[in-house]
Amino acid sequence: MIGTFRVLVLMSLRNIFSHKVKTLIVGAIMAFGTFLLVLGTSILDSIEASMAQSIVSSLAGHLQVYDGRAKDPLALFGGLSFGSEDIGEIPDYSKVRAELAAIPNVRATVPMGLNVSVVNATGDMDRELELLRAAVGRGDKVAMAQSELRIRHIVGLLKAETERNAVIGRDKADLDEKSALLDRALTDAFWAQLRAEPTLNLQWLDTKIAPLAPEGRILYMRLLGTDLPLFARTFDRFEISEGTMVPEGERGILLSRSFFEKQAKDKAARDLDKIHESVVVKGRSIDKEKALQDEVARLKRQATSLAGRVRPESYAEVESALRTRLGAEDSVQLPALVEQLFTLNDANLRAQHDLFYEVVAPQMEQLYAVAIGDVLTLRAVSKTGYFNAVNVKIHGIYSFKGLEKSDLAGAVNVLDLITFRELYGQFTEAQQKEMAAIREDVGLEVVKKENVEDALFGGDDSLIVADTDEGGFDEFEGNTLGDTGGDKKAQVAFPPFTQAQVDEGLVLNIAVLLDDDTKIGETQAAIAAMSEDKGLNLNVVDWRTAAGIVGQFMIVTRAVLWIAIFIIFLVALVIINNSMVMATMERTGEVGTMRAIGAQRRFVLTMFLVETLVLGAVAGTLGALAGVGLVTFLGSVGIPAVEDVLVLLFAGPRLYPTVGPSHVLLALVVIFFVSVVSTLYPAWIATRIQPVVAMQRRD
Amino acid sequence: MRLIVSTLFVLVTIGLSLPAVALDTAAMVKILETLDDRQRNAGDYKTLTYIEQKEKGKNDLLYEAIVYRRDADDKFMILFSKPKSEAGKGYLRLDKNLFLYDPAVGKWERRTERERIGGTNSRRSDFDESRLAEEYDPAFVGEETLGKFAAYRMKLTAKKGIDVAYPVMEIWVHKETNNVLKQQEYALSGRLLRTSYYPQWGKKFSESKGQDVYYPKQIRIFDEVEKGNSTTIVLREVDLRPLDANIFTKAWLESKSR
Repeated sequence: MIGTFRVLVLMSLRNIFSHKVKTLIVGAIMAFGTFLLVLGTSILDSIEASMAQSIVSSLAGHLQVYDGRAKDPLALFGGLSFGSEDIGEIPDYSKVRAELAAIPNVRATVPMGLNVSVVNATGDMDRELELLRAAVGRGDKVAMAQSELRIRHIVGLLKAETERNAVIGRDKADLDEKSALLDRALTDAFWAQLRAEPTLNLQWLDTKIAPLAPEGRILYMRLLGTDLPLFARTFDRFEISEGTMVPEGERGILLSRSFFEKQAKDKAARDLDKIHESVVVKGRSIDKEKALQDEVARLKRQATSLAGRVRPESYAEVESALRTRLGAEDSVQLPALVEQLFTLNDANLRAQHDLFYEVVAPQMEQLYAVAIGDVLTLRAVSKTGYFNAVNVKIHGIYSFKGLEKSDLAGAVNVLDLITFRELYGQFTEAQQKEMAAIREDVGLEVVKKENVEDALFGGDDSLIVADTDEGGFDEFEGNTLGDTGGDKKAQVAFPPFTQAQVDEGLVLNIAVLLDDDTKIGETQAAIAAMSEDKGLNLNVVDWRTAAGIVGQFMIVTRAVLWIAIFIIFLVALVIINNSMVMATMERTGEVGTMRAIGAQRRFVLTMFLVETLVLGAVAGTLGALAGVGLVTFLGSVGIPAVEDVLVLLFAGPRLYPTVGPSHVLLALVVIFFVSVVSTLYPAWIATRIQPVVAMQRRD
Repeated sequence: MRLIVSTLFVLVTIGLSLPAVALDTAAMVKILETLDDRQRNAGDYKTLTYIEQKEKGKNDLLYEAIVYRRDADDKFMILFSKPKSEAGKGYLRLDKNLFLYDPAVGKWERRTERERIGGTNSRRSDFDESRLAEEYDPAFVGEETLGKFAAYRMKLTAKKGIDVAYPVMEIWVHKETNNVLKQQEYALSGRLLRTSYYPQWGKKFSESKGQDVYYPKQIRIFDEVEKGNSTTIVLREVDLRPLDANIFTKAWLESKSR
C-alpha cells in the first residue's frame, strides 16, 4: 500500500515537471486563490473584530433591547429614515432593567433614547440685538455700551459692503434705501434716541437693520439621552476631551467632538480645514485639481463675511498683523486681506493655514457657533406632533478613544435622560383628553378630498354669512393663557433630579453589556424568552443589527468577498479542468500502456487525483505563505483608515490585521476541494482509455 | 313673427356657443383690489381661530390661537392659547420680519415667509390680510363652475422682489360676489403644493372702516405633496374693536406668555 502510494507520488511529480506549462497555469491559479482566501478572510475577520470592539464599546453594548411594537428597526448610527425612526417606547426602564439583571451573563444595562433636534444658531446681528435687549431689560449700562459698539461695528461693515456693491453697479434704488437705513444706525443721534426710547428703536433695529445682516445657521443634532454617569462608566472608550462631565443629578449635554468640529465650527474655517486636509493628509493638489481650485474659490467668497466676524475690539490689530505678514499695503482693508489669505496654492497652503489660526481665528467672534458653558436651545418634533424646545447647558465635549476622527462614532451628542424625555414629549392621557375636548368644542366635519367641491359648494348654504354681533371676545377669559405657571417659564437653571427619576421613566432602547462576549446568541435567546415569559414584548438584537447600515457593512463585504472568491474558483475550476483534459489526451498512449501492463482503472484515477493534490499542496502552500507574509507585513505597518467610515470599522486610525491557522486551513481545504472536483472528469476520461485504442493511435 | 323668433333663436344660440369673455388685466386687478380691500380693516382685527392638521400616520395637531392684525401698519401676530403645552407660543410679524417666540425657552427666532405655522401646512398669509393686488400680477385662465358657483379662474405670479410663500398661484373668484372660492399654490418649478378651499365667508361691520370687513369663516387646505395630509382653519369669532396701542411688540407677547 505504502509502496503503491510512493509510486503514485513519484509519478505525479514526474508528470508535474514534464508538463511545465500546464503546471504553471494551474499552479498559479491555485496559489493565487489560496493567497486571496488567506488575505481576504484574515482582513475581514480583523475588521469584524475591530468593528465589534468599537461599536460594542462606544454605543451599542453587545445587545440592544427595544419595544416589540416598533415600526422601524433600531439604527444607532442612523438608518434610512434619517432620524425619524419609530422604535416604540419602554415606559418604565426600572422594570425591564430588573428582569435583565436576573439573566446570566448580563453585566450591565444602560438606558437610552435617540432623537434628532434642531439648533438655531442666530446670526451675529440678531445675537447682539438679543444681548442689547437683555441689557436694556436689566438696565445694565455697561453691557448696553458694549452691545452698541458691536452693533455699530457690524453696521459699519454692512455699509462698506453696500458701497462695494454700489461700485459694481447692483440695484441702485435698493442699495440707496439700505444705505440710508445703515447711515441712520451709525449716527450718535440714533443711539441717543435708543437710550431714551429703547422699545421702538430696538424694534427698528430688529426689523430694518437685522434683515440686512447675514442670517444665522441651522444645526442638526442627533441626540442620545442616557444616564450620563452610568454611560461613562460602562463604555470604556468614552472620554471627556474638553470641559467637564455633567454632574450627577444635573441636566446637561456633552457634544461629540465630531459635531463640534464638523458642524458647530465656522464654515469658512471648516472649508479651510478641509482643503488643508485634502492636500496635507490625502496628498491632493490645488495646482492640478479643478475641484480643489473651486473649493478655494468658494472659500475666497467668504472672506468679507468672515472679516465681519472678527471682534470689533481686535479688528484693527488683526488687520495690521495680516498686512505685515502678507506684505500688503496700508490701504488694504481686512476683507481684502482675508481674501488674499484665502488665495491658496500648493506652495502657500500650510503657511496661510497656520497664519489664519495664529492671527485671525483667535480673534473671531464665534469660531464655534456653540461653546462650553453655553445654554443651547434644542428643538424637536415631539411624540405628540408639536414642536418641543428645551434649554440645556453644554458641559463638555466628548469622544471615544481611538475613534476621534470617526464621524460615525461621534454621530450622537449625549444628554441627560430627564431633558431627553422633555424634548421627546410623551403623549399623555391628559393631553389626549384635552385634544378630544378641543375637537368636540369646534365640531368640525370631515371633508374628503375626492368630493370636496360638491361637499363644500354644492349644498344650500349661503356663501356669505353676516356676523351681526357688535361686540367681540376676551381671549384672556377662561383659557390657559396667563395661567401657564412655572413650567412655561424659560428655564436655564433646573432643580437636581434623583436616580429614581432617571430609572423610573421612559426610555426607547437599552444597551446590554455581557460578561462573556462569546455567548451573545445564547444571552439574546435568554432575553427573548424572558420577554415572552413576562409579557414585556421586547425586541432583542445584537450589536451588528443595532448598528444599522454600519452593521450591515460586514455582511455585505463578506458576501462580496465570497462571491468574488466563488467566481475566481469557478474560473479556476474550468481552466484546471480544461488543462487536465488536454493533458489527459496527450497522455493517452502512456495511460493505455499502463492499462495494457495491468494497471487497474482505480490506479489511473488515483494517479490523476494525487497529481492534482500534490500540485495543489505545493501551490496552495506557496499561496498561503504569500498571504500570511502580506497580512503579517500589514499587521506590523497597519492599513490606514483613509475614509471616515473606516475609522469606526478599524477601531482607530489604522487596522493591524492578524492571520491565524484557521485562515490557512480554510484556504487549503477550499483549494484541495476545487482541485479534486476539477480533476474528476479528466481522470474519469483517463480510466476509459482502452489499451488497444491507445496503441492504434500511437500507430 | 317667425322671422323675429328665428332671429332671436339664432342670437341666443350664438350667445351660448361663444366662449367666455376673457377679463383684461385691468379688470382682474380691479377684482383683486376689491377682494383685498374687503378683507382689510381700517382699524384693528382680532380672531379666535382653530387650526387642525391631519397627517397620515401621525397624531392630529390642534390649536386654538388668537390672530391680531393692524392692517394699516402691516402688523400681525398669532398667540396660541390651546392646547396647554402650546399656550404662550406666538408669531409676530413686523414689516417683512416674522419672529417666533417660545416661552419654554424664552427665545425669539427669525422665520421666513415659508414658515409652517405651528408645524401645520398653513402659512402666515392664510391668516393675514389679503395683499393679492400688491404682491401678484394676474393672468386670465377661464371660467369654471365649482359646485353651484360660477367662478373666474386666474393665474397669479409674484411681482419681482416681493417675498411671498408661493411664487405662483391660481385662484377661483366667485363671479357674483368676488370672493375667493379656491386657491392652488405652486412652487417656482411648477409643482402643485397646496389646494385651498374657502367654503364660506363672513362679513362684519367695522366702525373704523365704516363698511363690512370680509373674512373666510373656514379654509380647507389639502397638501398636494404629501397626499392625504390636510389642514383646516376655522375663524370662530371676529372682533374689530381697537386693540391696545403697544400690542405688536415682542415685550407684549412675552408678557402674555408668563
